[in-house]
Amino acid sequence: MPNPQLAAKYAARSAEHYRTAVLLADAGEEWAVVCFFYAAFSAARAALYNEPRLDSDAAARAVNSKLTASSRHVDFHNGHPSRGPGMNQIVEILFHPVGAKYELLHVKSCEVRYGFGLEDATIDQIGALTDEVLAGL
Amino acid sequence: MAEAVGRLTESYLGGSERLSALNVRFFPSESRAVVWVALRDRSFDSQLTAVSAFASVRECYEDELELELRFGEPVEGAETPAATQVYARLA
Repeated sequence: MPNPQLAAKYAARSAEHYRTAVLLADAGEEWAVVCFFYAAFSAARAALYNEPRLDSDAAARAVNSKLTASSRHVDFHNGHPSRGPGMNQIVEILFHPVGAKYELLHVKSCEVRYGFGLEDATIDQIGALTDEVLAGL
Repeated sequence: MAEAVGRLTESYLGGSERLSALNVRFFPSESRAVVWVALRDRSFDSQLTAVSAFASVRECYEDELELELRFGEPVEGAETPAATQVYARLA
């Protein structure tokens, strides 16, 4: 069932991540990208807790055979055969117009976290992409 | 498996016209693969197009593998030694 309380908590968390991202972006610090991505991730979690298409297994499967009511609790990024679709896939399925944009945010955040830094993009581009994703969730 | 994933990715992402390199690191014990693609056009729009196309690759393997997409060349480190199958191709 929907959980408006949790949705509100994740929405607030998203706003906190976003505020931090803007502060870092204004300082030219690339970790803004990570905060922008987690603003989107938390907003996606909020959206799932309000998502009527996940109110039951039947309703979820009517959208996509891989979805269940439990999909609204997803807390990992990529799907795995042992645990079903991850947030990247669920956003692609339920919020298709921003699905690729959401996953690109994830990829760029990984460049900052695990690689050698943000490549072939600017922090401003990531901020604008985040705004598009947030508007589409 | 790494080669199969690599060939399918190359096909969906536009082949050698769009890619300058493609690397797959396959982790059988984790049912997971990391796919590294180096785009000839590294613009933001091109990256977005690649991510969108990769979603189709992932769908093909959703019952078998976790697939992650990365841009550029593989970052040597924790990921590489554990990979028991590696597929690399200069497109």
